[in-house]
Amino acid sequence: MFDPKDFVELCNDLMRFSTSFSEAINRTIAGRAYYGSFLLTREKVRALCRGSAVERQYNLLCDDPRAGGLIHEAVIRITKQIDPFAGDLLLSLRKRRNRADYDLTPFRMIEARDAIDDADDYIRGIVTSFRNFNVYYRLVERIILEVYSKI
Amino acid sequence: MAVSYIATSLMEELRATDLPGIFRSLPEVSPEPLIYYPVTGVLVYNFQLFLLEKTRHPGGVLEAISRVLTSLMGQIYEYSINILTDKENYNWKTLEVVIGVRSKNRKDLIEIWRKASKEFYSSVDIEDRDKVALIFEKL
Repeated sequence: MFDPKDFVELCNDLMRFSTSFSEAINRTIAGRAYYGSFLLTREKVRALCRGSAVERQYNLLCDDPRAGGLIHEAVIRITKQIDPFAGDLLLSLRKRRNRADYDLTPFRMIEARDAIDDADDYIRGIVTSFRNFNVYYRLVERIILEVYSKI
Repeated sequence: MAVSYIATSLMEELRATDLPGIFRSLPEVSPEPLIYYPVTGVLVYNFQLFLLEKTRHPGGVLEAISRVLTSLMGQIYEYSINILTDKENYNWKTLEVVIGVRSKNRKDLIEIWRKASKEFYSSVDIEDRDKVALIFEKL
């Protein structure tokens, strides 16, 4: 199984990569930094929801094409319930990734650097925070059902 | 403009949103940009639209925003309050407070962000946590 953290590790290599397409590299870094963080969390929540009342709905949000991008909303909102600071870091990573992929105004190296730093801080913190997952289970369940109802 | 003035002004405007009956007098939902400009008070109108959609009372969130902005006096450089809409999911909206801080390095920024976050979310109803975002940027 692929480890999403490798995406964040790759970002550090990409920072040193010499190419004439430097802005494209900066944008790629912002994208991988977000996806490394997002996928890691998505799978953590999937493992923690296994056997629960919302397992089916959560898996559908993750895997069914009809869900579109709804899983991003679910994962970030769940993270915010468990650890608001981490949730805001993940939201910040998503904002930057959206800018990198959709907004063609200049995307600077400093933004790519910030993306890596945010992802590093995020991944370091989330491991501890998710140990409290059960405390927040009812709120997590509510979010999953709310997002699922949008399909 | 001094931060204390901005915070006071913001608080006055936000209090105005609590006036009884104000929600009933709102017009149809407007497609106008949902951006807050502290002096003009544009957000007061638009912010109510956000609250109307969420059908939640704003008091706790607004007071928490004001308290954090006040406590950051001296470090804060600028801030804005927006409705953040996701590029790939337009039904997903979050009230976003972006705070620009003059800081020497990232470590300082994260420390300020973490502290403000703790203070902010500790005074926000737990069910509202996922409806608000506190984002810090280094200037």
